[in-house]
Amino acid sequence: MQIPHPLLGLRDASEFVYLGDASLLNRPSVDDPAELGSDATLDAFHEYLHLRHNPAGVHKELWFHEQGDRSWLVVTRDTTTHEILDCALARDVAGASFGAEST
Amino acid sequence: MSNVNRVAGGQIERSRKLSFSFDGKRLTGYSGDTLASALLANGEVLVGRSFKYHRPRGIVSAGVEEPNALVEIGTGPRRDPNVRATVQELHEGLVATSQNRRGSLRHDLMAINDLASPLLAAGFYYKTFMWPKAFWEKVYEPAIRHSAGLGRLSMEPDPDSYDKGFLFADLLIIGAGPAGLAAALAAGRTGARVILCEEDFKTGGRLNAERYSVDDADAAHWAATTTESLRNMSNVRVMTRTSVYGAYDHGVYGALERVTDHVGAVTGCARQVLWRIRATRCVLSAGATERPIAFTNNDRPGIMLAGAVRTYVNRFGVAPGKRVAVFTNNDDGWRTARDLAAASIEITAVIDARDVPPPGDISALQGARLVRAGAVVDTHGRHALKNIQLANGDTIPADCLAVSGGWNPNVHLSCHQRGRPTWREDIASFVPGGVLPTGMSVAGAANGELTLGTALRNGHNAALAALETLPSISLDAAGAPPSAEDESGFVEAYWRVPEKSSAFRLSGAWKRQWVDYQNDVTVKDIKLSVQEGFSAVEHVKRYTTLGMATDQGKTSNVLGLAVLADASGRSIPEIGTTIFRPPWTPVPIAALAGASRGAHFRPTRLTPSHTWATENGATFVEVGNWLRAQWFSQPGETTWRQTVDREVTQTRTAVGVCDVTTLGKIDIQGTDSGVFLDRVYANTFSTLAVGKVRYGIMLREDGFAMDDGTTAHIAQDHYIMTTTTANAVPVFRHLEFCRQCLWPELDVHLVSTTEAWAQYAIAGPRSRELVARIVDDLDVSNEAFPFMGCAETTVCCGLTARLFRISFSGELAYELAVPTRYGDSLMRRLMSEGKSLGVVPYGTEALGVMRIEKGHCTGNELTGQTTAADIGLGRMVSQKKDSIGNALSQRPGLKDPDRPQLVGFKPVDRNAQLRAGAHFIEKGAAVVTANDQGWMSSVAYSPSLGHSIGLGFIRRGQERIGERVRACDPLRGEEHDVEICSAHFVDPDGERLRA
Amino acid sequence: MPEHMPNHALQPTTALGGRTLNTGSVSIYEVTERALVSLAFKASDREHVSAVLGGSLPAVGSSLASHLAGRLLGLQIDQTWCLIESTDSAMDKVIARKLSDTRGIYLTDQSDAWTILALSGDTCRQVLERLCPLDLDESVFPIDAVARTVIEHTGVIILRTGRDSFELITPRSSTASFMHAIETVVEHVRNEIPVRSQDRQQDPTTSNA
Repeated sequence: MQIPHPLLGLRDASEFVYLGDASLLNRPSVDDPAELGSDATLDAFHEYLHLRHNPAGVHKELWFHEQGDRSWLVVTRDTTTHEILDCALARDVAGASFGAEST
Repeated sequence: MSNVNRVAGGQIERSRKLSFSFDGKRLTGYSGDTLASALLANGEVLVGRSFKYHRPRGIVSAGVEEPNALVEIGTGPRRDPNVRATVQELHEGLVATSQNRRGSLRHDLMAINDLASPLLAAGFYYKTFMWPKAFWEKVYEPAIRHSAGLGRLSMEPDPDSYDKGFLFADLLIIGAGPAGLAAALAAGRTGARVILCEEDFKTGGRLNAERYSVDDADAAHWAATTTESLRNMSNVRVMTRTSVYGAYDHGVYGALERVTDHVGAVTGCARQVLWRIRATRCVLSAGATERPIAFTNNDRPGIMLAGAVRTYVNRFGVAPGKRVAVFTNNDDGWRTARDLAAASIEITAVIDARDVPPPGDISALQGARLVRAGAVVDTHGRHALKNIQLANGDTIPADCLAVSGGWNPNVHLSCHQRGRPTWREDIASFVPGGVLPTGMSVAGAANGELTLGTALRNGHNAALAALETLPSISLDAAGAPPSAEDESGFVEAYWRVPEKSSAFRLSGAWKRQWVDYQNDVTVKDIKLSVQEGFSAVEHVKRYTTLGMATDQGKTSNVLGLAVLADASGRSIPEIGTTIFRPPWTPVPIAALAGASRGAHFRPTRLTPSHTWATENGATFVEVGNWLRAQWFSQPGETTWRQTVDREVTQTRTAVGVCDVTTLGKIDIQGTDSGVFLDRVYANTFSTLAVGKVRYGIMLREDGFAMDDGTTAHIAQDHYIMTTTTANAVPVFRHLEFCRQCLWPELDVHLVSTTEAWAQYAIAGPRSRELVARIVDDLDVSNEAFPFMGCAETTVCCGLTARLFRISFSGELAYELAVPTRYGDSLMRRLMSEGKSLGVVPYGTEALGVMRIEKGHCTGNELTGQTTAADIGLGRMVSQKKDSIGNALSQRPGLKDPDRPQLVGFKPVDRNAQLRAGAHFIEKGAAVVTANDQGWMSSVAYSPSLGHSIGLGFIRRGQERIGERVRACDPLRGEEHDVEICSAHFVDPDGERLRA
Repeated sequence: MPEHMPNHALQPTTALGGRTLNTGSVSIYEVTERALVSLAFKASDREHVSAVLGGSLPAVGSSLASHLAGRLLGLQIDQTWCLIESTDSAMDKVIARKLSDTRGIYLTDQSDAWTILALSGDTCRQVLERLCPLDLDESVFPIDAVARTVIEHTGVIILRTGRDSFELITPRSSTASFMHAIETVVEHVRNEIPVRSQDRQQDPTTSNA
């Protein structure tokens, strides 16, 4: 596989480490520490961490360019063809309140 | 007599004679020969025994598709099994041996299998050897493996080297036949970066095997001169002896280059190179493979593909027979007859399955019997073909029968992603179809364009079409395509000769029509498969083994499909093909491994004190990729325990030094570093004063413990985190995830500095005295530099250093770091300065003993299934802030008071030796999983206590101090009564480390 | 200073002891008198950092010479590394003193974490194509280009210093393994030359006897 890195161009997948669904960017926030153990918080984290869509088709996922520029990337890949439709720096995606559509 | 079958012509170098041996017989050939052409030249027709029935077999083809002529090449550890004689280049001294026989090749004792063949049909093993079940592994399989099979491995380490490499191109062209050469020429002229791969040692493909003309020149000559001009283009790389074996995602191709196989072993060379080629565009011009026709006894030595017979005459100057007959369903078979006649080889018959007049000029075939709408119904000859029998009962003498059933485009690489071949009626074969690999197009015979002029134009145009979309390439310089005539190529689908059962009633059971020579699959086997319900193409393959093994059915697949279609009353397109997967031709495991073998399987990391440790009796242990000193033996010590006990005792009573450089170090800087640490650690760091160190526990988001270590606040906005050796990389990755993906707004920066600093633990009651002798002017008194203090300082006359007062051993201890380049020198200085204090170096084993005595965790305890609470650190998880894993650590299951908790264990019998991995069972309870209460995670002999001790997890452990349970190890058959105790065996109140 | 304090400093060592290899067509040597300092900043601060560094900050993938901090290697969007002639093991502090404004700029000395190998010669690109997974064609990876990648399971920073010269910056602890891998390929490439020179195709019209 070749990943079209937004800064570096095509780089081989062997330089990267895969993490999983890019919805991991949407970590629930707990503003009040008293809520840390509440059912609502546990439910939110359970959903965040464990519930995945696993689509046959377009999937946004996180890759780390470990043997490269150390950037986390959001790669949009069609799981049925391996076609990569987009690749962006995760920091940019995270900053732009990522992905209501992917969850 | 040598080279009895040589005829004039060919492209061999007759001035360079080569000697070789086959089954011990000394023979000669010429440079430019393959092993197969040299064997045929010497009249060696019988070259192997078939897979299952041990039938005598000869050479069938002249290329990679060869199903029969598999031999062992080389001797000793360099013996290679299953080498196709048709692609092995002849070289001086080559040693070839036939395989899959018992006794001699002519008198193979296993040939009895052929007489038993009516019993050995498809599925025989599955049906027969099912019971008793246990017999399969012990009796049946070894016996079957012994009698059926391919070549033997040498069973010795491969003495050769293999490299891997990486190449890049705008355009990769696979196959340097007419279409490939035309494509390369057009692309090369545009200035594009081109790689042209050819699996043969000569470029040209069929041009070397035919008597064609290109651009009004001899076709083989045109191929040679075209290749020479391509080699002179700096933007074109011509790679012969290079098989592109796989097409992978996103324009990546695998290729195997055979560097030295044509000359034998060469010292200091890579024998083969496995190339990963990334190409923006690709033209697949892999040509086509001729297929046989099924008729009774069509597997005798001397029965060959017609195109191969022509190749041996035209390219190698070898007559595969003295009297040759041709059986064809297309015009191409007639070309063989004419080319052989032109080389003065006797043609005894041309049998055309079609009811058409002979195509073209037949004046050269005056003496031959020409049969229209005919068929070969049987053949005779035990070790070599003697004659063939026609439908009317006539026999015709022939020592070689050239068979042409038409040509199959080599679609394989087009299928490696999602391509699905489609049927083309006019050539009665499959052509590439469906979605091809990214950037691939197909040209020439591989695309079903089986005639020369069209193939050349097709290759030229495919290259231009491929490059058209690439920026910065101008097609203006591409020139015109090479020109040649299109030969006639009319083919009529004719797959097999109908069986005439009445004529052969008595011997019918032994009359077989072979479809797959390599796997001994017959027409009957395919019919049986359908009859028994395995009629889907993938099922037929598994049931009959059609198309398996080294040739993957290159000659047999389409014929097999035709037989299957006939047997199941469907059309070939309805049946479809099996799916082709990499590799196109076999790739040795050694080439896939490359240089990653033995000691070089992965890199070795050496610590700064490695040289010193080697000089001082260290025994090393692998920890990840690191080599760490395990202990330092001294003269007179006969066991490792003696050594480790001494290192522990001396450290606990005087001072010891251990290289702890391998622990991960992460430099954390930025105005938000404190906030960041609060979020990634379960406990709080933002309150940590400059000059202080704190132990931290890091959780995974699911609430389990991930890693632990200390983090020092070394300066304003500057922290130094340590991780365990094993987790250095994963923790760094996780922190980058937190920084970039979760909180990109924070001003925090991470740099791994593990290797930048040589770091030594200096532990023991006299460690302060030793440290004081090393540091320049830092006050290291307990008051000025207390437990959990840190400082940037200088040592040994002004050298930058970092000093931390932290302790893993439980003793008064420091860790001292200097730039790595001074690590060796510092170790030597510590030893010389510490001599009068009784200093010892200690290794990982003593380190482990001391941490177990102290109840500190390592990977044995932080398994990914234990929580902070399980290891007694539950109160460190701050309830005043959110942090990674904090919320889910409060899941009911993780807070269950019944969870196993970390405690210490002592054997009731102090002489007993505890075992890690033992499980705890209550007294009197059965040793079964249902009664399992926990497990022993770490054990050591404690020289401080004089007996074995252990750390482990047991249900509600903290409440059960003093209770006795059994530590059971059914695996080793051991069981000890143990007493649950505090995990802190030594100095439980921590007085020593604060001294 | 205590009485027993030795009055001589510690002796530095390098990973390979300054080893060199020269086969005629390729040479490798360990560059020892060079410091490496990472300079980190927020990606949004690139303009400010560029100004502090004298008006230039390399894009990720390229390098340039600066008068303040040696050659700057663009390795990350928020990090540039300074490769500078020096034997000082605390060049982070030296560079910090030279900068007019260090707000938002975080330096870490990395000199001792890495070994720098200079590789040059006629066949060095043939050697590298068996080691480096990157396209090193000059049209893609010109002089001054820099990239971090993986060679023989080890992270490596590769810098092109000339048409046929490169610097490979590799973790210090595994330098011996890394050097072994390079030397093996150098030997293979050298010994293949006579094997490959026989490879030229014979013209069939001249080889017929």
